[in-house]
Amino acid sequence: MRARKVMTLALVLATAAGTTLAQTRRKPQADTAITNLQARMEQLTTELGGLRAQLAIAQQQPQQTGQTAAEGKIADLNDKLAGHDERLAVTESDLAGLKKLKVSGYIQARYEYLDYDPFVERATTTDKLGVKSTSTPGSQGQSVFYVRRGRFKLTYTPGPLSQYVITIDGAKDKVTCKDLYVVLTEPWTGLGISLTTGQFNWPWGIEVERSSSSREVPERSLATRSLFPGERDRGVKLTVKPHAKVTVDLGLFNGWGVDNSTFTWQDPTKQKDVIARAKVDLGFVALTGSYYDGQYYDPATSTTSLRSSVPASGSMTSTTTTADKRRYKGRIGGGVEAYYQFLPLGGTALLAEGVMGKEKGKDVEGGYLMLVQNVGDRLNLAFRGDMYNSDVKGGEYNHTWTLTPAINYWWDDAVRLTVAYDLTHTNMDAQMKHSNPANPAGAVLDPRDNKLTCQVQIKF
Amino acid sequence: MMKRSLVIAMAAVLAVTLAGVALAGRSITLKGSDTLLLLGQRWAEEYMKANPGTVIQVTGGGSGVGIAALINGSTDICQASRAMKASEKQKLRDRYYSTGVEIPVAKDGVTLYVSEKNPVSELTIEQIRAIYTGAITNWSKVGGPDAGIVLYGRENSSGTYAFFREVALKNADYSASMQSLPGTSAVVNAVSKDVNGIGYGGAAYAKGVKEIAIKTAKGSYKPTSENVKSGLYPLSRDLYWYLKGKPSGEIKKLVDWALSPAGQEIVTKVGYFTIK
Repeated sequence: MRARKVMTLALVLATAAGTTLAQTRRKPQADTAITNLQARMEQLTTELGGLRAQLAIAQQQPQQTGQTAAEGKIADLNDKLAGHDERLAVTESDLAGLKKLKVSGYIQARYEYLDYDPFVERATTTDKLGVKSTSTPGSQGQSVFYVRRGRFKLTYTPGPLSQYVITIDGAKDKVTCKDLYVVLTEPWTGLGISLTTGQFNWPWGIEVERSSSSREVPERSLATRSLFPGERDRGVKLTVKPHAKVTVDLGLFNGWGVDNSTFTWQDPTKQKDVIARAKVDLGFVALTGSYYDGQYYDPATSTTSLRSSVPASGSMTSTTTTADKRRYKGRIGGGVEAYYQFLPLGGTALLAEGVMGKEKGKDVEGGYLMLVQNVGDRLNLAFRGDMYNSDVKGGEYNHTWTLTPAINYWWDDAVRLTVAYDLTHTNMDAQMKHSNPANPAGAVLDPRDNKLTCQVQIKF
Repeated sequence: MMKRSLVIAMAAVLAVTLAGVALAGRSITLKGSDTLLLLGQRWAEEYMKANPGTVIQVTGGGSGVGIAALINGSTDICQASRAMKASEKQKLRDRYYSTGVEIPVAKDGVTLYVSEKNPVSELTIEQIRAIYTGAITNWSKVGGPDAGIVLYGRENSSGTYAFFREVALKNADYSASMQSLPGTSAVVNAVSKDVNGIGYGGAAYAKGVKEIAIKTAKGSYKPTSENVKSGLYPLSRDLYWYLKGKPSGEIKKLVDWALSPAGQEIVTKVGYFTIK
């Protein structure tokens, strides 16, 4: 029994001990697992956080990349724009410089047919012995292609106070400088006072300054060509505009011109020629009055001629010498321009000028009257009557009339085609008259010297 | 018989051709002022609606460009926001033997625009001149905030540029800092986005910006119909059409219509003021 109790106690103790021991052994194992699990959990949580962060980053990544790229692009474009702005500023600056320089000009290519008269002996020369002889230069007329004018004009205007002009001309057989001048404008009075100096147009009338590129007939009137050859001189000109419609010019010039066979940079007369011109321009009508006072130079001459009888000295010739002279040269002129649209076809213009004065000791007079009718925008018809008398008191042989009908057609904005016919009436002098066997004694004969001109002009 | 048929056929062809020419619409070109561009376009639209056979082309470029086009023959009508210069009339006279025909078609007040956020509401002509010549460069000098003034203006081919220079600046040079923009719309657009900006242009373009009143000895005037027509607004001006010669045919018809009550109603709708 006792044995049974001992065994039962022993079993209980053993069980308890076993349980205790088992519990004792089991406890550290459970803690480790929990720790391990906790560690694992922590690890996983950390990993999850990382993944979540990565996911968040991954989710945010495309948006941020797009935004960054767009911002980058905008920055690039801004830079490019700034670059373009800088280039534009440089270009504008260069362009502003170029705008100060204006290039213009025109070319006139011509065909000319000049009629001729085989009986006209145009030149009479006298040799040193006083023997006269005649020749017939140009009496065969001409049929020729040539370039009448080829102008290239540079106008530099650095500002409102100054301007510089150079015009080069390649005409017929030579290249020359037509214009070389400077214009200075004062900024103080408001009267538009300007000073022009160099080589430029004489401030006379209308036609002298009217560009050949605008003229409806091929050449200026004979009076202008005779009294103002080349239309330019060297000097100085003061221009005043006391009113918006009034312009007054006052000039001092050498008076020698630039289109003269004896053209020189010096002035043989020393005294300057004075030109004054006043113009009132009302738009539809403009009136011009001009005055010229100057001198021309008559160089010394020496003429040797055969004596009619041999004097005691035995010389067969005699020599006459004249001293050089400075002679008066004066002109007065007036002009009118009128523009009005009478017809539905287009505008009508009337231009007229007259001049009278003293030239090389002789009284001269001349002028022209021109009527122009526009027909639509591209065509105009012009008719000019032109007269010049180189010696009013010298009889009928110094008188020339020319009637010129002309048609102008604008091929486009730059090109103009012109056909003109000069019907010239020239009174032959006595020697010309005598050379024509068909001419009755004492009659005045008009030689055949009419001219057809066909011209293509391009203006730029 | 054969010969007779041929003659009839030729006559028919000729008749059809002539009829075609007669019925063919006339194309009219208007070129020049950007100020007048809106008005010209509206006129063209309305006129073409009423006259289906006529085609009207309207382009800008500036008054100077339009006048040059009139002289070289590349436009029928020049729209200009300034009067032609004597030198331009001379060129027209040399080319067409006509002094041209000047037709005032509308009135305008050159308007100074600022941002709607800008507190400045009026300026004197002297202040405007000082601002645009660069003598005043900060808004604080004219009653505004302490901020630099940003100048916007037109290019020198613009009639408004020339008019503003002549009348407001008394022919003084614009400040070198002025930004020249191609067209009044560009000026308005720039000013509307720039709180410190100031620009000028036609009254009809003043949308999304604030108009500045001009203060004179008699009062302060905005470019309203009454002030412009009475001349109280100092920058009042006429807007012109220029022609090479007396108008005829379809051009005369268009001119007469533009000056008629129907044409002048469009002037008001666009934002300018009638000529009468």
